[in-house]
Amino acid sequence: MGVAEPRLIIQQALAQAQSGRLGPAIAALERLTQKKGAPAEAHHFLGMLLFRGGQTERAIFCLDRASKLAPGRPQFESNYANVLHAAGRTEQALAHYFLAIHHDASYAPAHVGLSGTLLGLGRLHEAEQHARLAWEQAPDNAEAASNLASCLILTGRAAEAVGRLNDAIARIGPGVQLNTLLAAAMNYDASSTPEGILEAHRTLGRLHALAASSLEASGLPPLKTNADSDRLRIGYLSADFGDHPVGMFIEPALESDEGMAVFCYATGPVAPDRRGCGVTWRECGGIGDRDLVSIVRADRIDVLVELSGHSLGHRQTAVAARMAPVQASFLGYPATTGNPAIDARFVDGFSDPPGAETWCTERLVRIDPCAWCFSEPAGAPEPGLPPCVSGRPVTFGSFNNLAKTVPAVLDAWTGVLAATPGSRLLLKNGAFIDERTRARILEALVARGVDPSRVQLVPPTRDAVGHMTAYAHVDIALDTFPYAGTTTTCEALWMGIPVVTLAGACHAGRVGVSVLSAVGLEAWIARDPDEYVRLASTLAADRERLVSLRGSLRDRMRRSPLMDREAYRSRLHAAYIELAQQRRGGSA
Amino acid sequence: MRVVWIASYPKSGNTWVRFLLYHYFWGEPANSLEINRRIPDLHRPSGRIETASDRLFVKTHLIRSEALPFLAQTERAIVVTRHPKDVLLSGLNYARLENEAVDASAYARAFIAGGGDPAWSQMGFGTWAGHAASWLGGAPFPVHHATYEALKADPHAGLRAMLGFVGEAIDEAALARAVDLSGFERLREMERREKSRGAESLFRGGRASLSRGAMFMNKGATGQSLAHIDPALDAEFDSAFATPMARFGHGA
Repeated sequence: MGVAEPRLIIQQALAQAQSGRLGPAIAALERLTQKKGAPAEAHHFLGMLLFRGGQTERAIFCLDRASKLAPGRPQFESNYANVLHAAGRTEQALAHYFLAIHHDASYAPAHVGLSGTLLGLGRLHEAEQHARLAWEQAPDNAEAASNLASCLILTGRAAEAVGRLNDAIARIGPGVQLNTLLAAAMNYDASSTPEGILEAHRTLGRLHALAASSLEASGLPPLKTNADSDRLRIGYLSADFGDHPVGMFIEPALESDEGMAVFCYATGPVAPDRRGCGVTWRECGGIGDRDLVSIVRADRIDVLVELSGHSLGHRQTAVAARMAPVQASFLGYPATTGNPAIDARFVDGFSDPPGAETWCTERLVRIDPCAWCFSEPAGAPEPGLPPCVSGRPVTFGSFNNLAKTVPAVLDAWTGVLAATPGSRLLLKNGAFIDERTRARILEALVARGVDPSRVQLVPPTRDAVGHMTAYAHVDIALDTFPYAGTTTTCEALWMGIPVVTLAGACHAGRVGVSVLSAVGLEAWIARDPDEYVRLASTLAADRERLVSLRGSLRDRMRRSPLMDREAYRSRLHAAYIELAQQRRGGSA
Repeated sequence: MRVVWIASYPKSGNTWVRFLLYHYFWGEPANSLEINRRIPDLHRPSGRIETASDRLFVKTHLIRSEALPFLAQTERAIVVTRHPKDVLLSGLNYARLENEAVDASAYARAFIAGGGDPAWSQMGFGTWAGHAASWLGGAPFPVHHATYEALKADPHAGLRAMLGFVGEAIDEAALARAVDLSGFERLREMERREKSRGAESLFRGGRASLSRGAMFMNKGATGQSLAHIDPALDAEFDSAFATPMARFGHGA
């Protein structure tokens, strides 16, 4: 075999693959690799093309062969690691990133892939180190910027993430990946203004509209209406029908009634007990935007409710291509989507009081008195006595995502501890699986003057029952801001624990207001950080009240609009009917 | 480059062997993370590897298979095994470094039923017996088998055997110094020092775990019992592990 011939075959195959002719490209490389003495490149690129074609196991075989034939090529090892990571073989992936970096410590793609893998493992500190290395080596690499920003957001440093993302976008140019993170980061950042958040989402919406126009131009089935049917067709689109708060909160709405057919488009796992209810389930995991749009359009949905906003697993480009005559956003995101193809967003008068329209691109549809419906968590123990009445110090707690624990929140919690001598702070969240992240938060509190012995940082429990049981160690829950909790607030109340929240300016900071108002607990809503500290310390001083609440909050929730499933479903369905009718009448 | 694996199931003394070798070849490190720079951990790529020669010691917990990286460059392997009951208890301590609420009985029974920590199996480390068999049976390169128990009983002899295995002429003074520097209490003190000042450390667990008395360098014990968790556990364990323990030189 000549030297030039294999290289030429490889180049031609890659060119074919580039122009979309994956099959012939794979066939050519397969023929080449069957010859004796085929170069490692042939095996490597065959592996990469097989992976692109969805043949992961065969891809791994070829990539492994290439790695053995030509040990020490950072590109080969890094690509191989990426494929192993995608196949779920994480430790093997780490080993091959190791090889890539060992052979070339400045090889940015390996640091990028490695930081992404470590992010997935929750090894946030290491992920950040490699993302920073990748950023230094390749400042034009959007993935490097994205990974670094993700690390910063997930560890409560949204302001720094916003700065990094703005720098990256200025350098690389706007794009869905970076602009999505920027918009999301601003929801957490106390220094972001409502105007800035709106503008970031408008920009993001335009990017999705642009991507959708390309999708439309390449040919999509027509959008047909369901005007002839007697039954309204409602569709829900989400990646979170599995074990996720969005799945829990939407579940009461899924039961169809006589005048309504419900379709669920699941782009992720579905919890077994969520199936049924007369709902038609469409498994859409791994499906591209074009196919997703085609499937939903074929069902002639009247109102499509997307439940992700810009959260992980969102399908905003498909939504921007318009899959139904009326499209709405709900539950999974704390701000406007900015997507011009989303007509409505379901909120309530507490989360979005009159005037909130100023900060939205969608029409706000208020599902008053409360836009959330909490379902009884399975296996939650009965609330016991507050820990502070059994000789232990008063314990303030927050089980919110660490991303929401931004510096302003740490300031307020420091104030709460200072105003309540002898009290303790217990924080529990998924990010605390990483010891350096725990250390960083402890250091941040110590730097504010908090004695470390007053702080307990707890990693996640193994199951939901353990999670709910952990509330037994908390006397008073402290909400976060400017991005308030939803599930955590409901769970704390369910365990008989009062929650102190700080009312924010935008939806993200007002969900706690909505939840507490629905249960008639407006007294725990602070208007500013000083009042937040005062409310928390006042509650801490009233042990009798804490005992009484432990025994009464659960019943109070059950009797409140927050847990009235029938009324909630009626309100939501009425809103769907009104939106569909307005659309048919030409005014939606 | 010639790779010499330091291969073991987790919690079997791999870190200790790395310290012994580091101290012998390079003296006392400024901090524990320096170990990674000279004797890297395959599972924690750092990108700051320095090799003084073309030989590279690499730590791994992976089972030996065709999927193991560096196979073409592999020269030999030092394989460390430890009595699986001590591995179980060390694994339990390790899990509690991360989460003090881990239930001891549930952890032990999952370990016994799975032939090792199920989480480790999922990570590609196999079962205790599977891991040992993969490295000690039929490897296409020379393998030196060190047991934790023998190393603890006579660390000088253990390190001397490892150095001989990799072809080093022994410097007795350096060997004695390496064993001294790698003593359990010295390493425990290094862990305590690093964690108490919140520094990054090779020893997992952080300052919070230190404050409640949990350490990576836990006991270094051998011949332990599970009876303090549940009196029935020792019998369950011995029944499940008797055959592989005998096969790999760890009498019940």
